[in-house]
Amino acid sequence: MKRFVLLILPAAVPTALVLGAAVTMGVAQSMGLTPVAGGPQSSLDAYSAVASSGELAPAVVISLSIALVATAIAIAVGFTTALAMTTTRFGSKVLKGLAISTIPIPHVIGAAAIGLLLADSGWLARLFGSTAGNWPQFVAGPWWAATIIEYAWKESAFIALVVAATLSRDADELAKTAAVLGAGPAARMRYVTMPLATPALILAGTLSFVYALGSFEVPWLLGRAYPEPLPVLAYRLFTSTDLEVRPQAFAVSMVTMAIALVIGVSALRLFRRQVVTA
Amino acid sequence: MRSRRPRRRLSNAGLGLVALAVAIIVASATLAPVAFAAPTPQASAWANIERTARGQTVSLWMWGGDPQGNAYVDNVLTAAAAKLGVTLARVPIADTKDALNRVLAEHQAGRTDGSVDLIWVNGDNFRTGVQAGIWKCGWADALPNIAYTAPGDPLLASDFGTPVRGCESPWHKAQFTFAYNAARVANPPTTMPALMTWVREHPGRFTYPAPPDFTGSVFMREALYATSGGYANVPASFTQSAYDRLTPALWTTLKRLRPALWRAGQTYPKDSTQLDQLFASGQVDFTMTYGPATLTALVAKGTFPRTTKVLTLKEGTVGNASFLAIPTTSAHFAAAQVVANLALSPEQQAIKADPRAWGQFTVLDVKHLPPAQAQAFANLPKSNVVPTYPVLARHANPELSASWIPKLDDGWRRQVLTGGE
Amino acid sequence: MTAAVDLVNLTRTYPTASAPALKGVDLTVEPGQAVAVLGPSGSGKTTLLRLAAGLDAPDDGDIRLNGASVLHLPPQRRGIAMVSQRPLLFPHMSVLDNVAFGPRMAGAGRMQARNTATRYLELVELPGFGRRRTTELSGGQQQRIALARALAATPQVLLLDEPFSALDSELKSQMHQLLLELRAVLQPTIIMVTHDHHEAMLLADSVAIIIGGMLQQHGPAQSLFTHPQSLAVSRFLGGRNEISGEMRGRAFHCKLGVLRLADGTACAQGRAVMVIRQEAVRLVELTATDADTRGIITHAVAHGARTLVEVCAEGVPLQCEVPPGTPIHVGDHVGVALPVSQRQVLLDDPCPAPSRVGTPAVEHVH
Repeated sequence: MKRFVLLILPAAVPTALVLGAAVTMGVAQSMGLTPVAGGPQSSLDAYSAVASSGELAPAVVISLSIALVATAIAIAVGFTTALAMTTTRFGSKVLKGLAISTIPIPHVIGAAAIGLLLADSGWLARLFGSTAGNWPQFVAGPWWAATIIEYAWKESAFIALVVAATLSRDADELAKTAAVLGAGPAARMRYVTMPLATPALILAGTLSFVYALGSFEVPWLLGRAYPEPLPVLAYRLFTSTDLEVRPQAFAVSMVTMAIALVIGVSALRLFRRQVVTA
Repeated sequence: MRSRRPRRRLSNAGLGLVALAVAIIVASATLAPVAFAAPTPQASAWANIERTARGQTVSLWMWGGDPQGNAYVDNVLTAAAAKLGVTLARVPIADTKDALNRVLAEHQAGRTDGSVDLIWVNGDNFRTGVQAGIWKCGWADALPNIAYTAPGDPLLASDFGTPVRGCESPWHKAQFTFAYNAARVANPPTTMPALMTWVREHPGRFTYPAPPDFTGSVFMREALYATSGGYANVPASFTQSAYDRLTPALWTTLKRLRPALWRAGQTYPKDSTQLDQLFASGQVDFTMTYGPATLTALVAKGTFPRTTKVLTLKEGTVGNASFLAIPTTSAHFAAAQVVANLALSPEQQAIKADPRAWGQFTVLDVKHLPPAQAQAFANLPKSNVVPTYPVLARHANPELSASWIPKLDDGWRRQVLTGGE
Repeated sequence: MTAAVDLVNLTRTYPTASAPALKGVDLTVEPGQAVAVLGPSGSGKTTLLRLAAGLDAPDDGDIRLNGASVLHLPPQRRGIAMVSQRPLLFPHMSVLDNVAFGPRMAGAGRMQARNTATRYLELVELPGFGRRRTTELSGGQQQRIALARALAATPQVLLLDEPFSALDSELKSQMHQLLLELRAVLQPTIIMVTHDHHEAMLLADSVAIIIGGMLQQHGPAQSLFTHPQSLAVSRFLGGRNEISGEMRGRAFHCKLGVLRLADGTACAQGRAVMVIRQEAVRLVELTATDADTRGIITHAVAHGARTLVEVCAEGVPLQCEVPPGTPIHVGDHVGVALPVSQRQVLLDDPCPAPSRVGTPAVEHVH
């Protein structure tokens, strides 16, 4: 145990410092303690202002919805891909290569590419000879399709790699063992493969959910003007030329962080329970 | 930066021209200072500044979304600055607010060796900086080349209603301009109310960027002037009573316009780049810009249809100037002033005004320039798409005070974007 | 819970391999019998089990249980269970649920399956381990659970793929004892892959030897050692004595002289090799009447409790294992006896025997 603590110190200390400083600054700024102009004054005004502006609630709803749908798709696609990676030669070579090559692409580049692909005058629209007006509104549309597709695409690669690493060869061997013990395909999936993948799915799914919740560039590039997801709202308030609203930007960020924390903690509890009952 | 709105790639021909311009500059830059070498106390103070500036590096933070502007700074202005012993490093940013936020953060941290030496700025960003006290002031009036501007030019004395007070040095003038596709708009409207009528009669063929995007914000001010019966009826400085009196008609008009907008007003382009894409791909018939000089190149390149025309409105449109400001956190004050002065020189202003180089209107008083310098402006190419600056600016409307802008942007969000009927 | 297994002409070539992993293997196991499959690494032993279990499909051939082909059946419907070298217990289940897995899949309710599992835990002598997590068990315990889990699925055939090879020798002999007891109680048909001759002889009724993907020989363990049907089998089983010579009439002519063969063996003629197990060779007095030849001791090395002695006789190296305590001195002259019943002659060039199609490549010679 002691050795374990020592081993993670080099990674944990800088992380804790950076995170601690950022969160402290965020809290301080959201409470008006470090104003750009004027004297410091502690208050929760920024929180009540942003809450009463009527923009926070829709932002929370839309952010959670986007993250939930995108993560659900990413889990489904990522899990299937991971299975193909661990059980087929095609999967272990081609799919793994594809997934690995997807990881280093920054989300902002991915978002730009998805935009070029799916926009009204994008490649696909041209490929299908769609005339203005009858192409589905992926980009800036009411269903946030392009945003969700971008997250789902990037995160499914991430989830696939994490789950495939967990399943590795053993899961395939265990599934075959189960087959020899009389388990059909459905039973193998339900009693062996799924339970083996579940802890990794919970962890990777939580990471991608929290990422989708807190990331700015994808909904900003591919989303619509209203309602705004939380990070876009925070960014707009942060870059407002009215310095008075800057604390509100940090208030929105703190709310986002709180939501992410709640989700992270619940996921961890779920994860623990999975591991214990496993 | 804000007050331009140029965009799009520079053509190969344009690059060639820039290279040509470099050659001209190299020749003229060596001669330029000689013309002003009158031995006055001011001149010797300036000579001190130039001496101090030698060997310093200036980080110019500017909106990087316009390849032509980037190429001009990298190929022309940087080369001319090098002649003066100053290294100019352009830092591209997605939004001028990014530079402002950087300076604010460094200012809060008490740094005096900040990463920003010069910012292309105007309007509400300038005002925000004044509020926060992050600008060096008084220096811009002392630049030698300020002599070439028209004394008392209102666009240069006040930046969106905020007095300039030597806290920034002028760089470009701009005129807000609508452009339309003449192939699709047979009888173009000639006033703002007529434009609104056209929009309602042609659903889905018009939209504007969502404020607080700069261009969308300007469009909204144009609309405010129209619904208020002309700019004269809107006080330049913000007052709550004027806001309460004038904006209801604006919101009503814009809300009534909404169903006739692109995608029935369910969403808006994020910025002028997106609006230009919609225009370029034929999804809307109008676009708008604060940097009309770039339209010529866009049409020549085939990005915009050949039938693109500038829409001149009888009541005129708003115009402004944009500036170079030096933050207090800069450690290279002298060199930053040298670059600002260089950017203001007739040679640089003339090259920059060529649409093939950048196409930014000059801030200088061309009529009163010495003949040699005036000739460079007279030689600028004529455009089939864009009228000359004097024509565009004929009925120029003044900009509203920057204090109006966040209020209007906020009102638009509440009333038009999220509000009901 | 037992069935006859017929593997017919099983052939399998993996896509990436140039040579087939299995080539026309025929193997028959009577109900309740245990056959050990021996062979060097990579000889196709594991492939044989995977094909039988349905984890892989043969390119050619058939697999029959009680005479009926099961080739078209997926693994879960063949009634064949398998235990591998690694226990492969389900890490997310308790020990009891691991063992109860087979009964559950067969349709038993949770309680009923757990009751069954409890009985099998007792059978492998791990009662009370049901609630533990699999990671809490030792390697030997895990392998016993794996065995219990396989048996609890009540297979007609049990496949064992080197199940004890990862265990130390004490655990291994405990497991051997356990398996013998289980055989007595449950009598499953067993095909067991191993590379351990002693394990094969101890646990199996017969031994099949696969070398290079081909079945070389299948028969009672003893007969394989004393009467290998090829040099490959002889060498694989550790036979050390190979004497070159020629069959003339009923006698083997070589440097050692003329060696007689046991009566009643068919006669083939020509160049041949005589093999005789080193355990069968005896050292005798120089003057002893049963000495077939004489030589000088050149080497002596300990071989377990026994001593492996090399004698050079007429230029032919002969090896024999002598019991502990036998006085051996390098350089001594000794007599060597080669018991007639243990002599086996293998022809270099198989002589065609038109009367018997499909005659093995080697012939018995007396």
